[in-house]
Amino acid sequence: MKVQRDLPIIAAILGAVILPIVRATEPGMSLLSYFQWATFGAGVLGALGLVFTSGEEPFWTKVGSTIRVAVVSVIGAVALYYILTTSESFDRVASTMFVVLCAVSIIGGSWVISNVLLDLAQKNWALFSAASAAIAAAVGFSITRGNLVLQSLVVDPDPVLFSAGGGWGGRLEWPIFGALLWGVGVYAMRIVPVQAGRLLIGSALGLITGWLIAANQQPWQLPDINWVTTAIWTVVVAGLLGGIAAFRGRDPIPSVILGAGVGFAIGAWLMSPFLGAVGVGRWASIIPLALLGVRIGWRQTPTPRSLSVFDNRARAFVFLGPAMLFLFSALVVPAVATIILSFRNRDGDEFVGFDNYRTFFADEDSVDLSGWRDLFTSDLYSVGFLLIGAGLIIGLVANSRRNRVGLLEGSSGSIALLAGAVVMFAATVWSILGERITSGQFLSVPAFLVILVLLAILSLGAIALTGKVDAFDSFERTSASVGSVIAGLFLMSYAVLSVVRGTFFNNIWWVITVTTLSVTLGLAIAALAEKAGSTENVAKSFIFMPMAISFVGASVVWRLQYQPRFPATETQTSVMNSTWVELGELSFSGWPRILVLLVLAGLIGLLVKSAVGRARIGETFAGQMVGIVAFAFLFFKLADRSLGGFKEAADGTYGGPDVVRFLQDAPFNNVFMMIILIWIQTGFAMVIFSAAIKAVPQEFIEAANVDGATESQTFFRVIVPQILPTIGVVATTLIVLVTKVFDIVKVSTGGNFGTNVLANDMFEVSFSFFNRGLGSAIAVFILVSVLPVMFMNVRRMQQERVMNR
Amino acid sequence: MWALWGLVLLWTLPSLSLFLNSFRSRSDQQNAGFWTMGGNPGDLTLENYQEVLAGGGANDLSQSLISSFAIAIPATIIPIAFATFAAYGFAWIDFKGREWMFIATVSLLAIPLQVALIPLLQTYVGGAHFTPEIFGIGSDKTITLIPDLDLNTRGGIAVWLTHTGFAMPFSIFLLHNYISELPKEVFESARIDGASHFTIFWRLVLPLSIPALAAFAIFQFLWTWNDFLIAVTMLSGGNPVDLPTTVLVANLAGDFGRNEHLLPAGAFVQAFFPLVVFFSLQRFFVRGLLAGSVKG
Repeated sequence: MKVQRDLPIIAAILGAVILPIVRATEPGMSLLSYFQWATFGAGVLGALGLVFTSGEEPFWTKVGSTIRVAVVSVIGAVALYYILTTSESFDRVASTMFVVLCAVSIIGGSWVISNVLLDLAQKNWALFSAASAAIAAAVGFSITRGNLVLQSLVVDPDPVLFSAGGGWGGRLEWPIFGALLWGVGVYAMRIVPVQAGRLLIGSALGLITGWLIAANQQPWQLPDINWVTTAIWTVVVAGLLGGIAAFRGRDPIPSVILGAGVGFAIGAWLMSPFLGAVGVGRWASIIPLALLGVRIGWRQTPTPRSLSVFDNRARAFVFLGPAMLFLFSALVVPAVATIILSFRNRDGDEFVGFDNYRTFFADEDSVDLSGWRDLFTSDLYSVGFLLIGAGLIIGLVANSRRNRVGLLEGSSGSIALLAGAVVMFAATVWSILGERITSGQFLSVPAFLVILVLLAILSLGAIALTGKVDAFDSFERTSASVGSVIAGLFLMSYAVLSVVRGTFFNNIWWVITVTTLSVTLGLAIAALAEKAGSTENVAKSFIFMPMAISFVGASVVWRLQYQPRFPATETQTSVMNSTWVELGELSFSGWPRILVLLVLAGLIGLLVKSAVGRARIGETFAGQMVGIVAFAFLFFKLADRSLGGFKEAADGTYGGPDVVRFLQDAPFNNVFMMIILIWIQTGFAMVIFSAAIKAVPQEFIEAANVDGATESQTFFRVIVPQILPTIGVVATTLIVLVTKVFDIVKVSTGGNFGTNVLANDMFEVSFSFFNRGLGSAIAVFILVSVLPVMFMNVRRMQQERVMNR
Repeated sequence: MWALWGLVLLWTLPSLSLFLNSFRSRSDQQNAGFWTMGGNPGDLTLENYQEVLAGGGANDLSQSLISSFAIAIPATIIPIAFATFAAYGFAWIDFKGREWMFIATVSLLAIPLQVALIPLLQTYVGGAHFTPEIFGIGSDKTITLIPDLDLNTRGGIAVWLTHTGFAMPFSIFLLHNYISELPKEVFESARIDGASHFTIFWRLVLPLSIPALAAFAIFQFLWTWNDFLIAVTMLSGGNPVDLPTTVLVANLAGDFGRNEHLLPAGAFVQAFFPLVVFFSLQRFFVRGLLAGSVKG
């Protein structure tokens, strides 16, 4: 339908005409504001037209799109009404649209022109040469005009090189003349079939241009050419370029000519004093330009083959140029500048070596090891060790049973790990019992660092358990063994990170927690949703929705869940604190407590039964175990009357409620902020895992079923290995994202209460305390932390590209 | 199954409580949790929204909504154009160094914004100028390479430029994934018919890539609308009218609880347009996410 296709255009034209007329009665309408109105009208109506005609079918054929169009139209209408009734807002919108339209037209226009020129090159080389020479000349002549085209808009309307003519006419006449001269000249050159003729025309063009420039210069702008130096430069650069060309197997003569011109220009302009006589000084312009003309004239009319090579190169430049320009100016150059700044002082005017980095790491707020003694008395640490040990033993025993071999046969790796864990745990117990830690006799800070390193080695070893390493061959990998080890490691990392504090460790904590939990939860939800049937997409939508909410918004959402009210006797309005206080009351209540205890006991019993049942048929019972541990924890806390928030009176009875300041009480306030990011990012992980699971070939799963694999075996041994690369992608993406976490911390705590992270620190240091050197150093440190991930990504990509060949 | 729906409930509860609280009066919000409402619809009120959308003063988000659009729309259109050109160039134009240039471009994905922030801000504030000392005099004559962008009145431009630069690696990666998978035969037969890269791009690639472009547009819109770091560094010194919604909501959250009761409404207004985009175009959004990470 013709009308439908043209509807957006018609609407846009109508808008462009009608809106300025509507507003024309207003006083003080300048020409520019008419333009802005027209732009605005065209934009709004054109966009509405596009919405109504989008898609191949008319919009009313599908109910879904009708609703969508209706929603968009209502929102658009409300916004339009709103904007039109508040004039000040309107001006902002209209002028913004005007600027956007200008920017887009300039970008799009120059891009289209470049492409049209290149299309022309294939058909008519002479015309293409002339046109591009004209454009280049116009640009070059504008620059010699003293950068006026740019400067008149921005800084300084005074001419630098030329004194003739002010205003736009004066600024334009010179570039237009240059464009005409070179356009016509190069066209003539290209239709001359003899090379000598082309050389003649080229040198004439250069001569005329050089002479014109020299004639318009002030005496102080003319160099007093030092002929010896200039000659040396001419020969050296000409030789250099010629040598390079010869080395690359090309004809050296054009390069020698070009090199001579460049060398002469360097020698004459940069290596000679100024205030030269007109007679001598004009050669500084004439000779290089004449040589340039000769170089252009030298070029043969291209053969079809060289034309196609030229086309590819030029197109690559046109297509990639804008993106590369932005990449360089917004990413690469500033990043390099930041690296340089990080070695300079706060104002960037003095080199200070590594001082900024030293300042960062020496600061107690960045790295604070002072609480290290608490590590050995923390529950997390003990439970972590126990879990790792238990996991190792379970794995070894399971293997020896199944394969009927000795318990410790051929498993050097796991035994070493187990021994390490036992020794470290024993040492801890021994030193706590002997009060050696608290009195400071046993360990100093360096010794503590050694322990940290040992812990790291232990962790790496334990992670290796899950992979294919020969030394761990006799370790049976089940959810009970590997699961316990991983859970133990996780708790251990929490034990360490809750006693060693500071910005640096906070960041590590964020990365560990958010990456692990988002990936795990995302995978679990994706697997669960897989079995949900028709409701799958609804459930996934809800989990996914936080992705659309800003980090700032999400922080506000969660603040509502955490907020305590003081004094604690007030009604608590946040979900978390209200629950917490209620639990405290429950701990001291009479029969409700008994009732809840009974329910919990019943739940634990049910879960144990289900776990035993699943264990019999060889199914995973990790979920049941988590439930049992959680409920048992609640049960014992409640039985002990220590669950929830309450104050204890002097006689041990209930002395009123007590609240938790989730975002202020260090160190676990960090974790409550991490939950916000997990809430957002789990949806991302889930969506990707969900697609990856669906992409696992159905035959694999069927084959596993035929072989009698249980559901969990299929998941962990068929599906997970298949989507392992995807898990890697998600994990690396999350690591990069979390390393930069800023908004949540900024909005929730502002980095106070021991929650500072690198990005927030960098922001505070650079933009509140104006220490650019230190700020840059922290930024560089963030960059260095994500570099390994970047290398992994590059390697993966290279492999993928090789595989796709 | 109960596990899945339990998680769904857990995930939805925070946003739901925010939404419900936004319709409750100041005293209601302060004296009881959102779960106590209901039963009496008369308790619900729109006064929070009134204050947030038409209250005037520092808590009025209406101007910042316009600013957010003024930032998000250009910062979505401009990168799409550049990235589509570049993605086509990397996928279908044969030139030397294509491989390593592409990998270098995409590896810039991991560059954190913080690394570029200080020099970018310096450039935007002062511009970049070149003083040609070679004329011996001329120290008062400067050639302006980059003009002073004047963040106080024209901050939007600086924000667009930054968003454009930082969108490049991901957008090129995503669009390249799509455009390079288009059937090769189409291109070959078009080349044989004498079509230039320009024609192929304009007549074939652009229409075929609409789904990928839509996917990236949604991404970029959500990312620029929800951005806080760039806006707060580049715009907070300028005209308060130019601040986007994220900065205003963050300010609202940071004023020591004086306007605590406006936060739910403010946060919902801030999230409204992203949520509309998200729910109406979820299909494209998911497709874009997948194109960025999963093959096939």
